[in-house]
Amino acid sequence: MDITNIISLLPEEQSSVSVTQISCDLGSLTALLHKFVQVGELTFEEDKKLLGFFMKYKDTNNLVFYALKSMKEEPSLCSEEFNSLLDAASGFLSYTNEHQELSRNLEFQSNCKRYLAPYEEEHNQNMKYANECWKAFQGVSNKLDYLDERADDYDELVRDMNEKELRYKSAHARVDETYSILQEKRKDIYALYSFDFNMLLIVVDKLKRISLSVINDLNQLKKGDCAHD
Amino acid sequence: MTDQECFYQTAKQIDFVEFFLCFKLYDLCNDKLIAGTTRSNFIGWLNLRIPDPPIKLLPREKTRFSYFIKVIADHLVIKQYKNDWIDAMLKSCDVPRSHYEKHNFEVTCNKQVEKNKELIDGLEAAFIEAADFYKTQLKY
Repeated sequence: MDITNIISLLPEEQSSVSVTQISCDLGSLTALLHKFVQVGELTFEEDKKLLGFFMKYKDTNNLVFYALKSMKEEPSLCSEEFNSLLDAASGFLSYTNEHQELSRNLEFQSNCKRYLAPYEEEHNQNMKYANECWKAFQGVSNKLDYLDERADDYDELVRDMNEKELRYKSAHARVDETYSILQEKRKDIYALYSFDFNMLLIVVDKLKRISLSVINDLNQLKKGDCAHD
Repeated sequence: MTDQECFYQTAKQIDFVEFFLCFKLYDLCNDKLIAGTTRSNFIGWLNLRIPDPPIKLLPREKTRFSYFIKVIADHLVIKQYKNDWIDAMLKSCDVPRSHYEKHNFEVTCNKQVEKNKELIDGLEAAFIEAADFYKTQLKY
């Protein structure tokens, strides 16, 4: 397979890629890892930053296409950018190699559960209240089933039953509402819940390999020797 | 020297299979379809980078592997390379193209075989998980 023909697939309009931004973001990530190693945990917002980096840079084809174009048009700028990216990626990876506890201990499910806890608590409270309303309504309804319509307290009980029924319906509607909110929140954080630190490592490793390839190709170009391996 | 020859190493870094899907496919294939390997080696292999160590197909998995390749080929990120990708993947595991053409549908005809069913269900689950993963947006 002649992979080099991929250059002919370079899209005319490419989505904007800022290699400098990637290097900068990697620096911020490394700082977060330092924090985790010192403190032993990250906040929910900090977890989102790690996921955000992954989501933004996991599709590296745009970066490769940018590199292929930039190597032709601005080789010295390209070399500078990718050397910087190589440094940032290598720094990140060597830090994670030195601190193996990152791969073992850095997980995201705990913060997700803590985030969902108040919504689950509210929903559970509403369900409990709706249950109580239902029992109260059922109690009066069952009593009325066996009561003669001509009994003295019949009408009063009917009024009581109607009030309890309304209260139950309102409680039930509130349960439906909090359930929908809870499901939305669960969907919102599904990506973070499924996220794995190893995914981030593999993406950063890819960024490193791309940088190395660009630098090697540029060096070959300078030497005037462009052999396949 | 053409541009193509000069930029060969960079061009090789192109991905053909979407990343999260690769990540999920590893659990489906490792020690089931292929001999045990690392996740990054597997992901590189799916994207046609030379694996080190080489990926080895487990015994009696050629037909299931053919089905696997057929399904993944329909979901490549760069569709223009579908046939080239299939050829390269088959070659990497010494599976002749003729075997692939004759047998790539057999898994779906023999769902009662447990391993076939596991592969079909596993692939479906991987695609659904990948779709769900990217659908969710962090809104806050």
